[in-house]
Amino acid sequence: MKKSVRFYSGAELVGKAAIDAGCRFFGGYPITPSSEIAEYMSVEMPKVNGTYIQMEDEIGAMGSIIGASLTGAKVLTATSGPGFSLKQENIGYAYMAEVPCVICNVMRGGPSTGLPTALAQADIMQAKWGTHGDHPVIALTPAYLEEIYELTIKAFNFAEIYRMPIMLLLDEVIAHLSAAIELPKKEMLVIKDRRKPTVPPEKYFPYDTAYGDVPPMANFFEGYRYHVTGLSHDKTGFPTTDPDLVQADQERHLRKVKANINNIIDYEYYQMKDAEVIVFAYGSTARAARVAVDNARKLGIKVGMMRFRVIWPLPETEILKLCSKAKAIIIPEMNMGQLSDVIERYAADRTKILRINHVGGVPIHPTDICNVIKEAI
Amino acid sequence: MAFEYEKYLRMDKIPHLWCPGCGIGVVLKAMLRSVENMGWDKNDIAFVSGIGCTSRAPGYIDCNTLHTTHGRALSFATGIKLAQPAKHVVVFSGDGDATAIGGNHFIHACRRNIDITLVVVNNNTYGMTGGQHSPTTPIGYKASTTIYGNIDPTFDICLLAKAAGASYVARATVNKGKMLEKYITKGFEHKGFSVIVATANCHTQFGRKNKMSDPISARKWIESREIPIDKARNMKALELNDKIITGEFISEEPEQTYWENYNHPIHEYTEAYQRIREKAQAQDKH
Amino acid sequence: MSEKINIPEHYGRWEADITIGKKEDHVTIGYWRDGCKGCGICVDVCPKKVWEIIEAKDKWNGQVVQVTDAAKCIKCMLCEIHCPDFCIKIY
Repeated sequence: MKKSVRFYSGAELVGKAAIDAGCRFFGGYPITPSSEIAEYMSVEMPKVNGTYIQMEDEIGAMGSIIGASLTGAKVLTATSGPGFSLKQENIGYAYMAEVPCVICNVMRGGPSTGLPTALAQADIMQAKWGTHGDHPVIALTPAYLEEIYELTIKAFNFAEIYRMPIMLLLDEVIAHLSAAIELPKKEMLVIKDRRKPTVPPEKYFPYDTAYGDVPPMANFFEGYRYHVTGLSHDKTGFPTTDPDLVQADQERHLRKVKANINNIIDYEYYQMKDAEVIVFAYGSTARAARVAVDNARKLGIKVGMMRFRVIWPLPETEILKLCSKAKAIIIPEMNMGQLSDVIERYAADRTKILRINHVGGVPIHPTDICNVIKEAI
Repeated sequence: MAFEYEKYLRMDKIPHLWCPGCGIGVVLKAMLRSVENMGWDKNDIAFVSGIGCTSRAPGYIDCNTLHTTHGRALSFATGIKLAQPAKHVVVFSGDGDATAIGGNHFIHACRRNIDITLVVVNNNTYGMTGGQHSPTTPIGYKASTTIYGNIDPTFDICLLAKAAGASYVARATVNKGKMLEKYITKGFEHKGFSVIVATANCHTQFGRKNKMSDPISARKWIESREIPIDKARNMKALELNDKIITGEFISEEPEQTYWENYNHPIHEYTEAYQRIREKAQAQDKH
Repeated sequence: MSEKINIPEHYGRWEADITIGKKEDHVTIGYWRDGCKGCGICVDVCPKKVWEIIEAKDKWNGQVVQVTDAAKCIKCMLCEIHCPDFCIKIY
């Protein structure tokens, strides 16, 4: 059988995976270094009867995908740091109204315009706390091209299963990297679709917890004439200020992720069997960390790596275990320690945390990580 | 014969939250009569709004209704319309919502000429937040943030829509409920982006600060400034200062010359995008 | 008249035989007091002074409206069209 191997860039793979996952609406706005995703979608979406639109701004792009999602479409937008900031208002809306959508953020240096063409992992915290209020969060951080394809499909599945916006965090290196890769066969893919109501319209409530923490979602124009708002609402979808209802609803939102954490967390162990020093890494930094681990092993150092494919939510239980047994945890990041701050809270005084924080726009070199590994023992 | 508004309303939500005599109710009624005129199926309509007094309207309408973020209604509506071009998408917005925080979405929806109808209820103020001045508060008038008199020049929403490329633009006031109904119906019929501006009274917030704190005097104030567009065409700019020009500003006429209609859109957006799909699919086959 | 009159039970109701021009007709005016906020727009827009404001202690602004004389109605529908609160039905 003919293998389907061809050259793809990371950006193209986001688009390709999105279409294979069933995405039929892309609303975007040009921003470096994510524009290649929009360009790919502008070519490919019309071919599959989907829609590509370049909106007037980032906020509008986010609005357009929420609108399209309400009609039943799977939707994607792509942006970078500053655009991600602008989108936060409507991302919050999507959390509140529980509208499935995927937001791909090809991270660049910040704050503000920062380093448009350079590499960073600056939005780890923005993906978690970018919009106001409390909400659950799922953010994926692929490190390899094949993984971009795999995790983009996973992002769409999460969006559909949990009825919420999902963050796909790339960085400039893997978005612009090109390589010949073989994609899985379409029939091998697991594609999830949102649960639709089975009750007649007169018995339908858009936020009915009788069906679990993720209520079935009716499409617009299919006879379920319901109301969607960003205001705190009751199960009917209409605004409420009843403290008990608002409290219960907020708790349910958080429970969507918390109660399903074992189905969401996704990490990879590398050389961990006898590891005394552990590197925590994600995204393209993990590629350098892997080389560093290999090099340190050659020197006889017992070092391993835990790589987060899903960075939010974190695998808390596993991290706590590792914090108790590791001599040191090393966290290389292309930011000033956004993940390290969180891990430090888990570690408390049980182990020492060594940070490697580069924000100059140049990738962290394996030697930099290896040097810190040597220091750690 | 009475109009059966109940057919289109979520009656358990009525009485609505607007103040006694608020103009928004009159505009909402005109819009519901227009829906009846079109004979649309309620399941095929999406009513979208942003934030503000006006934007509470969709909650009362028994259709697919979407109450979005401040100013962003048109972007949500654009997504809905592009995903489901055969359905009817109506946006209900206020002056601050549409032309201040949503100004960018407004001009670009006009430019795309996408088949959405936008009803802007212009009450010259931000009612819900306490009567601050809006882009349509006339110069010299008071708002809670311009107690010494407003110095910000105003937008003429109709001229703005026309210049930006909307292909149907009309204005009527709440004093002329039938005229509102006529224009909104024409906007619904129109294939392309249509903007209907309904000048409405906000006596509670705007009126109270400008010596017209009851609905009747606020409506009279609007009436005293109404000038039909045919009459306005022969008037000087200074004479039209502070006037409300009513009528149809643009109604698609393909035979118009470029100079008369320099910014006239040449196509409706969802139809144009369908042609893009066909082109892309034809090229893909080769 | 053969038209179906659809005024709910809880509405106030006034009826009269009227003459519009030379044509004889019958008018039924329905009014929903609970929904009325007493804004007085119907009183203002009516060319025949069919409506009047009356005191109502149970309303927050202390007033509602009532029909003075249904026989004066010419079915111009202005009150129905301009009532912001869906409170008036003219048949």
